[in-house]
Amino acid sequence: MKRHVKYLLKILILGTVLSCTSTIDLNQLDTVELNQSLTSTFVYLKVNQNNFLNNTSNTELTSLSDVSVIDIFDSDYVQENIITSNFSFEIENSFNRDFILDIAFLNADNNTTKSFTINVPRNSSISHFQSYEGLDLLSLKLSQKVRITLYLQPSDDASILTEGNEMNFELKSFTNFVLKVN
Amino acid sequence: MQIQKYIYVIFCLVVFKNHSQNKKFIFGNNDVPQSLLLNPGEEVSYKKHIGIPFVSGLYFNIGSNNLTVKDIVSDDGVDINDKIRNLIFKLKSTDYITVNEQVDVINIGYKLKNDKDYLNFGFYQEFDFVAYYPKDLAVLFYQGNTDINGNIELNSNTNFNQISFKGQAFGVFHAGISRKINKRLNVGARVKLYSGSFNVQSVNNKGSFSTVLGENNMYQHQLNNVSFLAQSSGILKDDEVSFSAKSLMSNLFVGGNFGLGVDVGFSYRLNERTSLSASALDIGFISYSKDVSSYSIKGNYAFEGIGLLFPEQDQPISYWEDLILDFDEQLVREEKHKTYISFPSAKINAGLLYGFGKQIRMLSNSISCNTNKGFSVSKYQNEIGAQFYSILRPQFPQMAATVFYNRRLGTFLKTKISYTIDNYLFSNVGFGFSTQINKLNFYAAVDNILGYEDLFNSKKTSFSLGANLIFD
Repeated sequence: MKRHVKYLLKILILGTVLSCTSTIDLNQLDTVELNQSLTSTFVYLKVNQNNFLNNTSNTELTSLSDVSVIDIFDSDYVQENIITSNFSFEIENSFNRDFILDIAFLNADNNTTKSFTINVPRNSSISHFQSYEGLDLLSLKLSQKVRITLYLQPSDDASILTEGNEMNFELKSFTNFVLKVN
Repeated sequence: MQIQKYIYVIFCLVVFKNHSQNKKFIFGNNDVPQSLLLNPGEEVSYKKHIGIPFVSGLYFNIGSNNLTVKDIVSDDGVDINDKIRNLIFKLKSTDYITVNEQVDVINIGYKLKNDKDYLNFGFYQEFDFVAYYPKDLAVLFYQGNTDINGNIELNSNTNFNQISFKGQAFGVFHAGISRKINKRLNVGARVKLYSGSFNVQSVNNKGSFSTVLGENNMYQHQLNNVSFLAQSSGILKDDEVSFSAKSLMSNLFVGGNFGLGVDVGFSYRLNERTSLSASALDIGFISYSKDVSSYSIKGNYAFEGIGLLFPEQDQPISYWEDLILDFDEQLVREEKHKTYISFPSAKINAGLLYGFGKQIRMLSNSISCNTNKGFSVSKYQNEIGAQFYSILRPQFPQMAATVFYNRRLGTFLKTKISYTIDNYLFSNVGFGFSTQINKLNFYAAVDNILGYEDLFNSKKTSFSLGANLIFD
């Protein structure tokens, strides 16, 4: 019996001695950071020459404007962790007229937080990339709406648009948020 | 955000693959009364047993295959963020974390006067949790839907069927009988009354999220055929957390979430030296009706962005509000408080045993039963054998195969060394012993003993131990 008890004890002691741990450093957890890059479709529009015609007065509208709420900065997670906000635009203009595209971000009181313009030449396809970081991003984060205004530039020969001969202005866009979580 | 980050890291740390509840030391070891819980048809050679309350059977299991604590937080000079990144992409959606714990509270058995039937009954508590690694969602959360080069992941699906987890704690009142049919065959069955304490589960989810090239805009985000359901009981009440230590304990006994189950098993002596045994456990259900809550999402949704229409002056269009409304209509989300059924994880055990060497008479009662008809109840000093184990899990059964060698040192001690192989771990050597000192029976076993050399580098940790009084 004694011999067996000793045998058992040896097993237990051996198990205890062999049970050890390697060096770990839990402080490393403080340096963990996540880098997220989130791409989302944004606004789009497609207008033709009829959108710029005032049928009642037979005159040309010089601009079209529209506003939409964008709730993307309402999230605490985005507010705390966003480091870059990028906007990409693809524009196709088959009008024989130039455009100026004005994109303005607005706060709750409809005051502009950030804005930029894109010159779109007649019969062109262009891309535009707009990026906000640092202080510019701080302003942008106050935005709750986006307003897009399309300014039709006068023709060289003072002619105005007519219903026939279809021309289109098409805009596609997406936004990319880079977040650093630590 | 700190909390989210730590939860994420902790999740990464504990993505384990193992074979929970594979009590390979106890199955087929009829020196230990708890072997009846793994095979109700186990042959019993003693007259009665009484488990020492709360310590007659303690079991805990957690493990991993290709991941250890050391992989993440070892002091090796490698940036932890690089280690986490490698881990996120290395792990597969079939990887899972599983934790199992069991405490045998009461366990009593005695042989009837007919000398054939061994009745046994008692109560044990169990906690079981399994969660699969939702790789697609983890990658989406980790890096977003855009890769490190700034390219959006087009046409790659984030699959919601990878969201699969089930956890429950329950008490089990059980009564079983092991009957000796003849000299070769022993059969048994056990009836179980489950009392569910709490449950949380989300299984059989479907659907995916993807981004494709759009028609009107650059991209279109799609939620396709989404069917998601998460259920819980004993955790939430009126949208408040109702879970507490008090509710956990009281629900274990008579919590109002009742269920029924059965275990069946047999052992069969092929010849004097060889025996075969098998069992099926926890074939049953638990009906959860107390503090139940379920949340479901169903539908399809496609989103291309905000399409501006340039309305007439003073006629603004509520694009964003319409978007939210459309989202809510297309993707129906419901919260219900209805009774639901959950299934304990059913298990199958099977084993083949071959004895050799000199025979040892175990108990004084056995001596009188020793026959000269070819089937002795005495046991061989050496035994070799093989075992098979499988447990049904939400996505697929987990299986393990074990070979082992038993060695008896007199009537006092039985030792077992085992080698287990499964899909993930090929170096799992286990060791256990059971000892009989007068009426006191004590057993202990550890799995993956090679992992104990460095616990932080161990992929699996499992132990079981218990103490009983055995009367022959």
